[in-house]
Amino acid sequence: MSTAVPEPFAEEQNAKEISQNYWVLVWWRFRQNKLAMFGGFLILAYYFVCALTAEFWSPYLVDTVSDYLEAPPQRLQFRHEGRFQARPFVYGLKEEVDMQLRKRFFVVDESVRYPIHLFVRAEEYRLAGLIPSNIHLFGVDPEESPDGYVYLFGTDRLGRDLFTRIIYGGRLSLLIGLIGQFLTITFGATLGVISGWYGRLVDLVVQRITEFLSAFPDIPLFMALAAAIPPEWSPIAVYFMLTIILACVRWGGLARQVRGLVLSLREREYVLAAQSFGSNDWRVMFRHLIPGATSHIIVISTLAIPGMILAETALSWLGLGLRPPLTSWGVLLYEVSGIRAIQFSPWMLITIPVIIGAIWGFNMLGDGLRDALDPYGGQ
Amino acid sequence: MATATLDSEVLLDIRDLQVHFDVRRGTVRALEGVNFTIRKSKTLGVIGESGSGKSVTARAIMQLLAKNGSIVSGEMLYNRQRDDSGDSELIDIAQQPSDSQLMRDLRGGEIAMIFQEPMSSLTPVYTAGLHIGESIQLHLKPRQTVGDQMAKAIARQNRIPREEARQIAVEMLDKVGIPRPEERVVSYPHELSGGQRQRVMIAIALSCGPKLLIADEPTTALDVTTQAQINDLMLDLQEEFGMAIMYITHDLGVIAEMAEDIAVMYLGRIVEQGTTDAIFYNPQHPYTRALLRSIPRIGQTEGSRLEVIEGMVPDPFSIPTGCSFNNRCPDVMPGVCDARMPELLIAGDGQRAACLLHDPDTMQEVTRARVH
Amino acid sequence: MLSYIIRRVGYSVVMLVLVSFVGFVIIELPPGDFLTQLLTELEGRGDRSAEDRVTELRLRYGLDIPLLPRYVKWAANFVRGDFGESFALERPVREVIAQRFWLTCALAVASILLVWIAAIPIGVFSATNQYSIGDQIFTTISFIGLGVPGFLLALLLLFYVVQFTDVDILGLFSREYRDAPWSFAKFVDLLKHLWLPALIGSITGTAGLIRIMRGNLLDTLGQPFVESARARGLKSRTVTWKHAVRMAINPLIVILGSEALPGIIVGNALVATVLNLPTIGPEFVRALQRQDMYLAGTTLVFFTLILLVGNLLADLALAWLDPRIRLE
Repeated sequence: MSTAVPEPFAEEQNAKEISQNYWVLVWWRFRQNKLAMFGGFLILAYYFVCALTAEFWSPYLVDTVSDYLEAPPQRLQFRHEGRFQARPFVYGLKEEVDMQLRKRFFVVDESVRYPIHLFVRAEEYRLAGLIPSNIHLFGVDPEESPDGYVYLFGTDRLGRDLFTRIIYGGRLSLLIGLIGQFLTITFGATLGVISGWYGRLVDLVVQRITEFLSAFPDIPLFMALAAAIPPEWSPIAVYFMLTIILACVRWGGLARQVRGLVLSLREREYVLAAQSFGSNDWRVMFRHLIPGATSHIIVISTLAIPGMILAETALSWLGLGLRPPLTSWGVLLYEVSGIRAIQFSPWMLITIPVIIGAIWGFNMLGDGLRDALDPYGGQ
Repeated sequence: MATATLDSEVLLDIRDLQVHFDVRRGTVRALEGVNFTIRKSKTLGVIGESGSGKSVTARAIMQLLAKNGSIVSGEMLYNRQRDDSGDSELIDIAQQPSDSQLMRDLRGGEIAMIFQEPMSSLTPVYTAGLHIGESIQLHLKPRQTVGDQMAKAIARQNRIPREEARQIAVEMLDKVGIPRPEERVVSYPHELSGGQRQRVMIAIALSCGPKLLIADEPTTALDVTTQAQINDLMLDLQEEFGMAIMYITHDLGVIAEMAEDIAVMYLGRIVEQGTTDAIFYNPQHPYTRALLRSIPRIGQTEGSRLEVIEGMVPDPFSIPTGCSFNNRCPDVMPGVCDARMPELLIAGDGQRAACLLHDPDTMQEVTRARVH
Repeated sequence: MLSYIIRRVGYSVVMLVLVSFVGFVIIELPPGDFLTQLLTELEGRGDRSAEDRVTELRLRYGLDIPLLPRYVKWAANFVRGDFGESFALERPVREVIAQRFWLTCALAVASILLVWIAAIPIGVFSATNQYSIGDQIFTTISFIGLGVPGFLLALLLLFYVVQFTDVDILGLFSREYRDAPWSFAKFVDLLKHLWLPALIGSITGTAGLIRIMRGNLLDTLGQPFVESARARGLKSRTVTWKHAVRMAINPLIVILGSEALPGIIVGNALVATVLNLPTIGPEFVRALQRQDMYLAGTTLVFFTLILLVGNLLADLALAWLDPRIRLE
């Protein structure tokens, strides 16, 4: 509408703002958006904690088993017999048997207390696979209470600490999103650029392939492809196969968008100029076209990663994706697929809010990026 | 109702209209006291550079300002003639809520508007006939013929039946010079050319017999030949329907042809208003003079350069103090023009100009200062 | 228009043939097929005639001939409505799917209705009252909803119901109606059970559609034709619904066909697995888990068919609704 007086001519007074380059402007706008900043921090924290330094944050190792099978979460206590304690602690667990249900379960045993320490020295590990250490953020001190244990989120069927396993599980789940999306970008952007740039036959072929891929409903296709992975493959091979499957099915959409962008960009002056200076096709594509589409690709990718993470979760949860001994969020959920499990070890569902947190983080970040990467667009 | 009275010649009298827009960086004073009058059945040309507030004025009259805009003060006195009784009443449009029944009756019914973008001013999924019919059914009341049962029933519903509305639509399309109107009435906007779409817009606007037609740069988006045709059409229809036209443009050539009166706008103010002859032959405001010097003339000496107005239109947050034109004015009086706000005063051939050069008090002071 | 329809239908058929082939190949891929599993199982139980029985089954299902002829045979039968036999259920695939088809459709239709009934008015409200408190609340809710996929929500819901109530939410029928013949009472019972899975399955879709509707309508409200409609003296409600919403809804029809419909069917498949509903989704999952190839392959092709039909209908609906497309 021409009624509205144009949005403030910010350029006039703050001439500095526009003279700075695009990415500075993007960052400047992104910082204004509190929700997006929060999402960004959340995602960084998730990757830092789960993918890089899981061993430090968790009190146990991922496969440390105990005799406490399917123990409920222990509450962190600050008062004992009405008196405030300087050091938080957890009560011990006592096994009882329900004769009617013919099931063993654990109850709180207030006669035993295990103080919780920060930076305890316990099991050995290599941080990020490199730095040997035995410091854990928190836990019971093995010297002070050798029989002690702390299961803040309870344990699973093999008596492994769920808190630890959720942190470790994030590693594979989060990385599958990142690696899978990286592969998607590689396939999608490359084919999209080639298709848009060369047009004609190449375009036709790529177009038909993407159309063919989009004819499938993607989750059932994932499921069918994942089910086709031979069960005797090693877990790592399954993991990479799964990542590749996710990328193979998902690249079509990105390729189509990038193609559209390239079609509009290739008529722009700077591309024509580069051509007239004698740049060859590949140079024009990778030096001029892909950078032109970068902001677009970043936004699409950020918003697509949650889909990848959820796809892995859904597949593994159904027993079609990752399988033990690998640990991912989906694998953790696999253990609660039955109604019996939900009835008797509902704490295993704590994984769900953790997954949802990551999804929200990505969505907030992606939304913010979309607004920020179009700094001249305004509202 | 306003207490003021109007000359019976006057259709719309705008007095000290101020419109502000709230934007993130503060308040934009889009209109800072606009004054002009539109005479019945006459054309007022409103001219000015982009950003001068022409379109905002038009939308203020229609009560169609964007959500962040508001009429801060001023009056817009509309002289409403009752067709049946011949009585007239004064309505202050500035006081009417945008979505009130009265305002909706005025919009489209008595004050119609056509826009700059004929390409996108029609809803793409509806036919030309539907657009016109929608307006007719909304504003025209069926005439009651005594004893006619049908007509009575219709009158009770107070709506012209669809078939009749379609008939009027066809007639209107014929009037605005669209060939084969019976076929065109079921055409979708994308099947019409730009000129045809603007004709349809005019047909919609005139279908309800408005007293005032606001044309906001109606030909800017059209090619030159079509421009002339549309302008001729508007003049012809004005003769036939007798409505007043407020013609907004930045094209001085067009305005000379179309308008009896001209108002020149600069940065949300009227700087000069008068008859077309007075403005063209004896401009009093330095801005008007500069505008006129910037049009190319036939017979201009070869090699002589077209004059331009020095500088740029300032942005709405850094409007100079005093006369807002002082930073670009060739006749600026330092120390005077940047300190004092000129008012619209009679000057030249009966027109009014807002320039301190025509303010006797100011000029006396200036002369006295020079003497000392 | 007719040639457009013919072209679109022809295109869909070609796609379907390609898809069915890929579906067939995928299901053939795993070397450890159902019969191999069965063999190990039988041998484990000490069945001596296991080898013979499996070979007999292999012959009966035609697993001894090469892939391509087998596909042709399968496809030819497929067209005739013979989808092969489910190894695990030992019943024709056609029966298995037919038995669950109508409930799957009922669930999908219920979900789509919920999505549109909720999303369109909310989207319109949000756009026409941009930045109001209501808009911000709805925007936040839809943002939250977008991050919670149905099956996770269903798991959480199941947890709540199991731990704190004694409601029977599994399945689509109460116990007494489960095997009863169709009657009005059974239908009412179905409706009672249907709304919850439909609601869960539609949350992500609703959240997404609210955002799209809001964005589209905001764009549309800024168009000149909206202003010119207001200038004609129409009520703002008429301007919004008759002119702006009518235009803003067009792209949504494409989304309905190409994303919402399959999204809901698939999303429902996961939700249905959690809630153990008698629809096609959970059967597909089980078939994949057991490598029951004919059932899984047919279901995949069936899902794709729904998607293609959805796309086709959406394109036709759009061509019917938008005169600009009719011309092509």
